Amino acid sequence: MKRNLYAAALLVLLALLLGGSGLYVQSTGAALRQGIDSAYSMTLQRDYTGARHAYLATWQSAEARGHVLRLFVRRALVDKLEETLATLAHYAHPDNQADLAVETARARAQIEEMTSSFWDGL
Amino acid sequence: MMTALLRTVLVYFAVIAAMRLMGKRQLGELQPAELVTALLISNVASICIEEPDLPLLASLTAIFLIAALEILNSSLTFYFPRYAQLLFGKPVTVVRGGRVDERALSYLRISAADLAEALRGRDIFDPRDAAWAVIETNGTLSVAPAPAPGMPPPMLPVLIGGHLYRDTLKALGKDDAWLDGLLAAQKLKRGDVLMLLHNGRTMYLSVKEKRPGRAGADENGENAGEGTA
Repeated sequence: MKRNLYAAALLVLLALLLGGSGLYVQSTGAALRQGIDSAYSMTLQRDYTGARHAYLATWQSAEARGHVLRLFVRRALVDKLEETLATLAHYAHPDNQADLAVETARARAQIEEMTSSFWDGL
Repeated sequence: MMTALLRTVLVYFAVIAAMRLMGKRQLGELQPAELVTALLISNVASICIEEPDLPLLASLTAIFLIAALEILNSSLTFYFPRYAQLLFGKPVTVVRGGRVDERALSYLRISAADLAEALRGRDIFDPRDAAWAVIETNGTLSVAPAPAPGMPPPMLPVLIGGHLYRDTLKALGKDDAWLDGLLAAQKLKRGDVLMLLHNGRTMYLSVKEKRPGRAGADENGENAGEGTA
């Protein structure tokens, strides 16, 4: 029966699509995490200008990937993460070290929440 | 706003594609499993349209997953009649030879008024005008009108797709030994029969081809047999 083949092909396609999108979410999360980690380490070395550029680059990268990410994970999670990333560059200042630490931790948690939301079970 | 519109258009085409993939079977007759499929797909589609926060892929994947499961499930019911019976139940005869079967009505939880209404819907105003009436697995009533004088009685199902209709055997006053003898005369086993109908005088016998997927070729009468018993 041809229809069975269609169904089997559809299941394979869905599995590939899910696997591919899962990998995309995972790699995007890893890239964003790496971006804010390296930016934060620059602030620890008192390279605030470099840190600001790194935070901005991470935010822009998140915005660029956000359109595709919204297909795979809840829109609210992506919006929240983008909002947090957008503010980080403004905290990269010697007077705001404590706030930057808090906001960076928040961004890390939001990235974690976003990636785990894709793979979470029931 | 544009998101909702775009999602609506996408979901509309996705649901059409899913229903098309499932075939006409899904549209023509709703068995319990098929009703569940239709309900689930419509719910997932409406949630996807109403809830823009939900990722589009999650909804589309769910719609096509349900469609694929429905196709595979219906194939299982095709290859395994016992599974089909478990899933869909079996037809129940409610009128036999013009007599209403009260036990069948009570089994189906259908009142006599409901039956009378359903019979009237088939232009049968007197149960004696029905030689045989059965509630099919999809809930519809099928009626064979009583034959006019001199005309042969309607053909009743005896063995279809491996399922033995004991009610019919009983109505014809036959038993398993008669059926096995009838098939042995044709050098057949029960499993070889695609469709065996009988009216007490003549029979219609259609034999399965070796490949189950080609069983429909019998409609051309290539291996259909008709004879007296």
